[in-house]
Amino acid sequence: MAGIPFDLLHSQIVKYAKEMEEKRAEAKNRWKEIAESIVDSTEIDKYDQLVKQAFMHSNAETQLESMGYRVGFVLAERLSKDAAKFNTELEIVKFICKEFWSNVFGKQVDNLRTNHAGVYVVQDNNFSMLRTFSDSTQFTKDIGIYLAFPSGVIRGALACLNVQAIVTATVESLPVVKYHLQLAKKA
Amino acid sequence: MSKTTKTGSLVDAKKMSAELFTLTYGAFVTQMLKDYEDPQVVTAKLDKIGFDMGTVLADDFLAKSANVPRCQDCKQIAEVLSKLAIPNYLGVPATVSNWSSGDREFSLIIESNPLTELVEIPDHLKATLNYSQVIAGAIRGALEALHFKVYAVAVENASNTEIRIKLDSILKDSLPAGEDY
Amino acid sequence: MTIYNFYFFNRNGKCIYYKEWKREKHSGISDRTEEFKLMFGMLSSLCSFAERLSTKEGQQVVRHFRTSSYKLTYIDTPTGLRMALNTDPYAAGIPELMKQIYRIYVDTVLRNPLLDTSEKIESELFASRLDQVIIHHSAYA
Repeated sequence: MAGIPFDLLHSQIVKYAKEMEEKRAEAKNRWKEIAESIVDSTEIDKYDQLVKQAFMHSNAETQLESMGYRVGFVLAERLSKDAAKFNTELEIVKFICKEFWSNVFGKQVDNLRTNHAGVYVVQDNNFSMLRTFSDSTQFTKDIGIYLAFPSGVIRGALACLNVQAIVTATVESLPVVKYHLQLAKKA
Repeated sequence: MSKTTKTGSLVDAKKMSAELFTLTYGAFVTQMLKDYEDPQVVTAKLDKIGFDMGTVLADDFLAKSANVPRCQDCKQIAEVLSKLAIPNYLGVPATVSNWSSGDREFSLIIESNPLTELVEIPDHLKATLNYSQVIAGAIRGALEALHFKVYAVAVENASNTEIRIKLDSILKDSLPAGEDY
Repeated sequence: MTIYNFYFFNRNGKCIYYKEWKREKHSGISDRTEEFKLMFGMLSSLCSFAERLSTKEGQQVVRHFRTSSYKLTYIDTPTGLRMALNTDPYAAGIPELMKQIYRIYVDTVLRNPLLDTSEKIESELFASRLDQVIIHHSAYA
């Protein structure tokens, strides 16, 4: 399957998440107005639907990240089935940067650094999902929301291999992306 | 691009990217069902999402294939969809069948639809959610970009996915002809 | 050999991109937008008139017209996009070059959700890739 259907789907998901965030903000505002004017507490029940909408999820980024998490988790599960057992945290991160990355994002990462204290910086100089945006700093300020889903994919994949992490992404100039993986200390 | 290393065998990259698509789509539909609860609303959204994707895919398809003849009728449309467009973007072929309405209505049968490959659609949703409607929407969007107004609906049969397509009209802002693109 | 300039119209007839590499003489039309409109009008008329005057049945395709000093190569797509590229009269391989531009447009503009495709193309990536294929084409120089 060519990359374009996925890119288009991802764009649609981002658009959807943004729309839902707007809807929630609207519902929140309306609820605020209503809540201030309510005298009788039994009236609240009438606004069940609105309350539900207003407090359903957090923002668009979080929603995209959690969708990515689920996808990454299952993909890692399928990919690591036949892999040898991992002995160290570093082996797991390497697996993510090589096998996982090339299967999911079409190439291996270009650079991997670590401070040997649980922080890894993974750099992809030509990240598949952002290739079509720009090869300069144009659009970098709007790109954040397009990194939420892939960050979730990476976090989900790590979680599948029993590594809990916080994953954030930074872009200075497209299509270069740096993912910062902050691994939780093992108990 | 990617090599097999000692930690594991390489899964067919093409298959994997299909899995990425399938799983992402599944996560998206799940999210929409949570947000909207009504499966019919979700089906309508999937149709619209497919439509928007289809308008871009039409240009992608034309830009990347050499010498596709301009379709004049439904037979040609069915041919291009089943032999070129669907294999290209969905990764699997489709067969054409069930012609009706004087050759203005037909079905595309997709035997192993990758969208439903890793997904179990719950029984209570089967009647109301057209899970693969995004494909029907994409076909509608792509054909509308080419000035064919169609109706398209995706139905899950027991062993395949059926996209029922009906030509409504040829849209008028018909532009001067060009042949090869 | 030379490639002069390029016009790109969307399905509504709006000029969404214009670029000139070598243009020694200007049209004398003070407003660029007016020139785009006239160019679009001429191409539309040319196509429909060519169809009308045809002595054979079937759709007619306008590919180019040539004067003593330049050639305008034209393509339109079934999705309603139209492009015109002016070159010297004997430049070769121009339709293929224009199809390449079409691909660049799909990859850098239609696939970029941050761009409004009904407006002028604002993608630097489109601009730089277009420049690359033009400048490296054998008809340029």
